[in-house]
Amino acid sequence: MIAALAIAVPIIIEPSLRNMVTLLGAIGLAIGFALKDYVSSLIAGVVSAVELPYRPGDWVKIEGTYGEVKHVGMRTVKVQTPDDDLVAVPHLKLWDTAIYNANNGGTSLQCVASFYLHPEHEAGWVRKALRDVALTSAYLKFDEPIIVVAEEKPWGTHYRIRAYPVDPRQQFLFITDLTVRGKAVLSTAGIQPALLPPDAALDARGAAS
Amino acid sequence: MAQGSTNAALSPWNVVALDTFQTPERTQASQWRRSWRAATTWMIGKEASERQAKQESELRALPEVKLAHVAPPIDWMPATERLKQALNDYEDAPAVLFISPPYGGHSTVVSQWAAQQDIPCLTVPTLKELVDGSLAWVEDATQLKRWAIPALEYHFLRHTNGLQGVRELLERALSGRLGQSVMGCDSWTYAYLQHAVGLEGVPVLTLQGLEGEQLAHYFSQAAGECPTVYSTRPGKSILTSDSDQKVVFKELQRLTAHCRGHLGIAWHYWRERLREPAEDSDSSDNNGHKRSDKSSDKEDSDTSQELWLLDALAEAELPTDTGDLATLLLHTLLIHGGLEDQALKHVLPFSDHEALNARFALARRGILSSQQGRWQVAPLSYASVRQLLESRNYLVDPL
Repeated sequence: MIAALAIAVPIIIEPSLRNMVTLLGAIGLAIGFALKDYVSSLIAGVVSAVELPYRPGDWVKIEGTYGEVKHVGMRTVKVQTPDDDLVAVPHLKLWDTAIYNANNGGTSLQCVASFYLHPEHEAGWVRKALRDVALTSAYLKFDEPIIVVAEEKPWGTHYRIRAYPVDPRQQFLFITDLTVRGKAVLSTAGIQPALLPPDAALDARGAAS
Repeated sequence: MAQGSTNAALSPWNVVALDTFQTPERTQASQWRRSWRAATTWMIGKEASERQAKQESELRALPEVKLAHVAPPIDWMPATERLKQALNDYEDAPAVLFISPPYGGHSTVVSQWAAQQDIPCLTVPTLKELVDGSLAWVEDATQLKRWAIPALEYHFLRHTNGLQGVRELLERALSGRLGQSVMGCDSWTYAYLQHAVGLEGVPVLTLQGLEGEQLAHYFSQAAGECPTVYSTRPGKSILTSDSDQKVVFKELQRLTAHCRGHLGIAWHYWRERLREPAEDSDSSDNNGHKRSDKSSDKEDSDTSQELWLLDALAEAELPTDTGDLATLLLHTLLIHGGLEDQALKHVLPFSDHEALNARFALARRGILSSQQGRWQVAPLSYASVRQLLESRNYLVDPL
């Protein structure tokens, strides 16, 4: 390849000093452009080792990719999503993208379970009942607070249980457990779910996220 | 006088307030040691990691009659007496809790105290009453000026309805609307109810953790005529009064540190690990020839009280990769002081058959044992289960 180039280039371009400098400069520029992101990721990798925006075991969200950090390499961070996909995200996202870290090197990861209820109900009872739902979950981490948030909406009341599972990996099971048992308790008490108009549903989804 | 004060210092029945409870010395070292043992066993194999002065094959389990004599069931009456004395300091308190870990005797102690004082005990609600959130059993206490609950852990379920009764009871009892009460409670249940119901300001009593010397004193006294007990690991005597004190401390301190100073658990280890020389090794010389009857009889009389204690830490260990299902089940059983199979589906986020399969698997490996139909973490597995749960950030008991 090199030999072929060494033969071909002098035939096409006169091998003067000026031409050679121009040619090599153009080649260097092209390689520089091609490897710009690669080098940027390597430098960002060094920065990530110092700033620790994510560590193995952290649950992060980077540009719509949410999952557990499995490996932090020189160029990329490997994130395993709840769908069991392994996504390699280049470190250069550090420069201009918000990185959401749900547990930041620890074991406390807040989970939110939402309930949308018809406006006609006894709010104080619902609040206590939803707190009990969290207190009786097998996944609950007791070192952290349990908060039940109620927010009045035109279509009813939006309740959220904010609590922490023992292990961040249990977050989906924990939310499911809270949701299933919360629904059962509210249903047994005769509390109706809210019937949301389509635009309110979109609004609620935004609020939950 | 001096003898009396020594005996008092060696008594295992010191009832103390919970905030003065202390685990024995070297408890942390015991946990590290357990991890180290697991690592060495994994690396060099079980046999190589357990070099012993006496091999297990040379020993045999004690017959039940002899075992009942050497390690009789714990008589909790001294603890009851000490509780009675301790309660004198809490005459104005509407409710007092007496807590102990699994196999720690709180139920027996409070039952005995109530019987002594002629105080009625509240009936235990049925599973159906708990699942339905019935408060009928709470109403029983409204008629009484003084009452007791030997085992509060049987009066609740970790279930939205199952909390209602105990919450109502404790709210009324702590505010003094139900007269005066003494409640026995499993330490794990106490830890849970502290978060779920709130037990701030309630006087909590417990038995102080034992040191090795106290444990040696208790085992010697319990056996009546003090037997000579050797440890299979260093091969030295650990109970006789003329033995080196450091050895006594080292061996039984290791045991009590492993059991976090709890007599109930230590007693199970003691009972399960006691051995006597096997007949073959007694009646044969090194070349395998039978000794003469005369010399054999002499030897028998010499060794009739010679016993051996197998290595205390050789127990049903949980693997480090124990799954979530098993972990959640173990934690649930501890919080409830044991559960019947029918109750599992109400307190675990799994299907009935998943919970039962997990229970079967743990029972097969000796991690769980059944007492009166309730499955609970087996005494010899308690230390490793507690360590596993603590390492995984689960709520653990304060003892």
